[in-house]
Amino acid sequence: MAQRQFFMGVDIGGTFTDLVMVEDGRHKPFNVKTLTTPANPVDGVMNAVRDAMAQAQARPQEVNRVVHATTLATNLILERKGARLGYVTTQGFGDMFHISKQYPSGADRFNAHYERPEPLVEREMVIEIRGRLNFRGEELIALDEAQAQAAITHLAALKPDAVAVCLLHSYANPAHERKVGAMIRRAMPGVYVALSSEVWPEFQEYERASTTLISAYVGPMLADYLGRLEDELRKTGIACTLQIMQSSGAVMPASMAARKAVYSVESGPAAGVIATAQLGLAIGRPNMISFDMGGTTAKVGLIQHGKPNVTHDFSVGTGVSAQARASGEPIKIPVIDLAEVGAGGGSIAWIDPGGLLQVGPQSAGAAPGPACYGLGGTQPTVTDANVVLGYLNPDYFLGGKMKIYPERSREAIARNIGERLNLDPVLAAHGIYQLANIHMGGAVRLITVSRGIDPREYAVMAFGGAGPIHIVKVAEQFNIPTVIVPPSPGVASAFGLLMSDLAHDNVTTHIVQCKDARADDLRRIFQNLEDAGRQELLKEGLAEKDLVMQRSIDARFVHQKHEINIPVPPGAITAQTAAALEHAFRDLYYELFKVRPADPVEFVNFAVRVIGMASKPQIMRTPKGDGKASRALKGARQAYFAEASGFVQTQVYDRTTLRHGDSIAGPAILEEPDSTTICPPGYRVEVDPFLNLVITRA
Amino acid sequence: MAKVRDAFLPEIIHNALRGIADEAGLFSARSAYSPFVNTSPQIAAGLFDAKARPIAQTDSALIHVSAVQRMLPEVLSDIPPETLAPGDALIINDHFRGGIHPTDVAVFTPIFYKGKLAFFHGAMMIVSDLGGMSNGGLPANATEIFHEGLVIPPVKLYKEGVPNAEIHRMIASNSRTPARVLGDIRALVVGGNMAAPRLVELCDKYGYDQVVEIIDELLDYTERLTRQGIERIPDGVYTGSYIIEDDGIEAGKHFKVQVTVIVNGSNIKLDFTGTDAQARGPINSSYSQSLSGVVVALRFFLDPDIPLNEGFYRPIEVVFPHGTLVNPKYPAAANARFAVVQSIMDSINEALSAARPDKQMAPSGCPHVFTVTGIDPQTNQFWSMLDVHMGVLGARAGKDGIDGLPPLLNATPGYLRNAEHYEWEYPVLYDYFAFRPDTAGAGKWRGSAGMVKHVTFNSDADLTVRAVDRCHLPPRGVAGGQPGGAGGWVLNEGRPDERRLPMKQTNLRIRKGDTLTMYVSGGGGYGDPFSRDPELVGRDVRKGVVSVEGAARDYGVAVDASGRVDLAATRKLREARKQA
Repeated sequence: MAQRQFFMGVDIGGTFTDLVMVEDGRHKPFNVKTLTTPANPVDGVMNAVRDAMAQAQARPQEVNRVVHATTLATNLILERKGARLGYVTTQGFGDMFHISKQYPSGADRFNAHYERPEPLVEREMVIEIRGRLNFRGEELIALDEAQAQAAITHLAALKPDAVAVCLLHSYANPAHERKVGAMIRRAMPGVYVALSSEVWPEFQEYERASTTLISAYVGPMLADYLGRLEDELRKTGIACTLQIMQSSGAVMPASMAARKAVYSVESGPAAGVIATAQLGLAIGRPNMISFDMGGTTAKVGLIQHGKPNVTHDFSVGTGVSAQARASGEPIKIPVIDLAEVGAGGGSIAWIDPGGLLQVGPQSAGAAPGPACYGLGGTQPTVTDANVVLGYLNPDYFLGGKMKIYPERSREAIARNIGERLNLDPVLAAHGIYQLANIHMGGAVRLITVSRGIDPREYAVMAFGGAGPIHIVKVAEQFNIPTVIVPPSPGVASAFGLLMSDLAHDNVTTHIVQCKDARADDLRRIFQNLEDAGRQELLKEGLAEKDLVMQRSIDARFVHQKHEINIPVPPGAITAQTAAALEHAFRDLYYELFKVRPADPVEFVNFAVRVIGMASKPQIMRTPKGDGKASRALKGARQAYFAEASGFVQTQVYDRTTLRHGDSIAGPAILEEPDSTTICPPGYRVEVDPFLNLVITRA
Repeated sequence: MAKVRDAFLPEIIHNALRGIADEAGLFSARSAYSPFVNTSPQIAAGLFDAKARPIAQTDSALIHVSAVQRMLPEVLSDIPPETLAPGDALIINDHFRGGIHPTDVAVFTPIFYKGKLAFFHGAMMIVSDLGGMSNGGLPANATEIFHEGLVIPPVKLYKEGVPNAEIHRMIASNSRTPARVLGDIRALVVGGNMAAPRLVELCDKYGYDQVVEIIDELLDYTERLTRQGIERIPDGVYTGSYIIEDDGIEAGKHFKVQVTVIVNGSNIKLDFTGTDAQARGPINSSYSQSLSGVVVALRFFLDPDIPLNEGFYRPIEVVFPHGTLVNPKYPAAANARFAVVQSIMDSINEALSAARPDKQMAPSGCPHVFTVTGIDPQTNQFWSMLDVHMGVLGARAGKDGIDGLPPLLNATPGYLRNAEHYEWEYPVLYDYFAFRPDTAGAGKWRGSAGMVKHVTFNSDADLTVRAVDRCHLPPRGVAGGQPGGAGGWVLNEGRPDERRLPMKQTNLRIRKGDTLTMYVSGGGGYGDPFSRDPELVGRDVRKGVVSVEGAARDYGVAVDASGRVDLAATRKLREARKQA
């Protein structure tokens, strides 16, 4: 048997672990959806890996790419369960995170009861080190090693799990930080240490320090988890290195993820947005809303002109991302912009003290899970509502692999919601369904209407296990005309992992007026950044020919404080480069601001993204079928639709046998192993050449 | 073909207008050269309809929210709308005509749709320098508007897209930092340039008539929400007042701001009769500045999500007696007006807290600003740096102040601008920036801790310090709480030539190697400190904001250096005071 090549994408969510395995050159992927194992997530991943390998009859040595997205880092921050941190800084600046850059925004400015989130590090775990550099990196006060040693000994006695170090001006000269780092490692063997000059060596101490602090906060647990996962993969004979999705939508080797843990903070959600962008491009729709509803949360992203919006002004630590950018601690690394709400299949429905029905943000997760799982959950969830409404097939959950108990859904809803509101359980279930839809609409609103963007100009792509059940009613709130459900929506994020390239971002600060910028200096700065990135990726076994360098410079007019990023074209840097960049800056400035100041321009930050092009599965067209959707008809069941004021006998289709050109009028239920799509009355489903379901008003 | 109306269209239009206002403001802030704006990107900007009514405002600089709308009618009375053309831009800064003080400069851009005047964009920010007694336009000893900078009446800065070179030259030659000030004024024009095409696009997409109709509805809707909010405050007559320590001219002479708030159904009247006559020094607050203070203070008692547009003002009546601190007569100086504005807000809070005790807030500190300026020997040009601390928050009913955080409405971070940034740009070194133990106003709920910042200057220069208020008379406590610890300035602290500086001093010559220590007052406390949960005091000791001695003295809590509370000893301390 000839050597085959397999790519594997694994995405861990709060409830399910999804895996997609694709054989190079073949159309049909092998998909696995299995319960996440919260106590030890590695178990869930390995269950999925073994299952996929068996389905594909693949040999371990034939697996040559494993890409992984994990919500571990995000959850550690959201639940404040990260490392017990120590923080080391320059004398005089120990209060920095307690003085804080977090402040109220929007309505909170008039909220007499506003609370600022507590810093991730306790004040008594902060030590100050004597020694001082200036902005050129020149030593003004030598590092006082005796004082540093005493402070570190004091900190060691407080037993931190991880230590973040950020000394003033370390971007210009990392010598003091490195020395202090070495002293910490000696004094606290095994403790995770993050140096700001390694994590994100950019000018501006607060942002550099908070990026470093968050890296240290999630680092030890992420490193431990990735180490164990790599070990388990090795034991099965899979020898390729593990790659981790970064919040920017590119991937990095696990070894780097362990060292620069902050880069994986929004790892999970990024994959779904990448998948939407790629699938959108394939069908000629560069403007898309991605809608990813899993077990715990729903995430909404915006893709304009084929590209997800990437920001360097991301904050973490205050719950749902994107909702309160001014609060939370800044991380300077590139992050895909998303809105997230605590509404997923596992979100618990409850009655608040005022007697109103609420959904989420508490989730039943994978354990105990929704009541219908029969794993001990008694609280009614959105999934339970979907069972009661007939949207989910009790005999075909996860393609029939998981047994669920519909009577427990009904019971949980009747007891906890229906009886208290004096409502029939079906109406209570429909209330839960509608409320979840409104919450998720809130996330759509945040990234569109709230920014003055008309959602009617976009198509929405729905995925995640629960997304296709809800999406039509979410889109309806905004009159979004087109809903697209990709094949295997339940594992689309895992598929997105396989569509991503490797990348290594690095940055350095060197402030110089354009007219004084010497070609030699520019060449040297970029060379150093490129070499650092290149080495990281060559270690991964990538060939030089697969590497693409993207250089850029942040520039501004002197006197200004905000920089604009200017791409540096490929090719040699010559005596003319600085002038050309200045010219490009002035043109871009004019394009953005419609004015052309004559003032001098200065360069501030230099950045290089080294991209390692990975081989990816092709998104393939299929020929038109016979147009007879009846081939896929597998039965009918009662499903509740408000339009029909009650239960309607609804035809159920096996999505996996639908073909290009099929067309079905709602109401209809389309089932596949990892997800169910609900097409309500008044809508119609068409199947496109890529086997996407395209749902529009009939 | 314009898009048809659906249930979401008003919301889309409303958010699009706010988005345009915010984006235009952001672009102005980003392109500004002014050190103040670069430190704290605060630009008051907004969109107005053809009738000059505010329809959307930026989220930042709310403390200046009413200025732009008060200046636009003044501009239009000198330059009638029928004389405007696309590409025009109009400038003004007079604080007797809607402005705040001369260094706060506004630019208005008329925006045309299909040849008809349809909207205005207006933006105001503090520019780098417009002359006057001290570099940066914040002279702490000014007694006339003329000391504070060049006064600009409404004039055309741009005519049909072409800069009016004469006006630009006039402004440049009255500034110590001509390149920067022209950059700042250009930044204000950038906002209008930004907003115009976006508004035209909006009208193309949804139809001008439909947009205007929806704007009318939004203003009415805002009025409705505001009235509903006022109705929820019990009818009554409420009073409040606040004492200002001095005006920087006559040391020790106190000034009073006083308000009577009359709530009557869905109407509210705020009458400042009883407020002291205007000061000679620059603490006076212009009419528009006082109005902004009223708007901000009221929003704490209304739904904070109510949009800020013309509808919000309809149910609100203000009386600012002419010739007083809140509405001074010509030619009063007004650059240090935060002393009065914060007193306006604290007076209103005191008054309305009688109706809504849950919203009571102990007073916060006032802004501390220092400017260092000199002449670069190589270029013979001025350089100027500015550091600002907006003051720290007072305690709230049921909550402590938040250490490091400025008053909420400023929406600025406590750690405002990075030391690395200052040191790269100016000849200074930041030695420390920290909390000061035992300066948080003690209370059942304590104020935010006072702060201290220490800077070494590496060049001869002129120093202007300006602690606006509340250093001699630090932020007061409420409901039995204590005032915060006092603030102030010290030159060369700990050296033989140590000098305590007045709260406000202009153009003090300093030498290379001199140091400045800035002490920021702590926020006021709320409630009796001896009723504070001892464990919270223990936590404050661990954090370093309360000392072991301070815990015993101010709170009656016995605690060791590690923050461990001795409950029995605490009981004794607290009993002892009851008997005393």
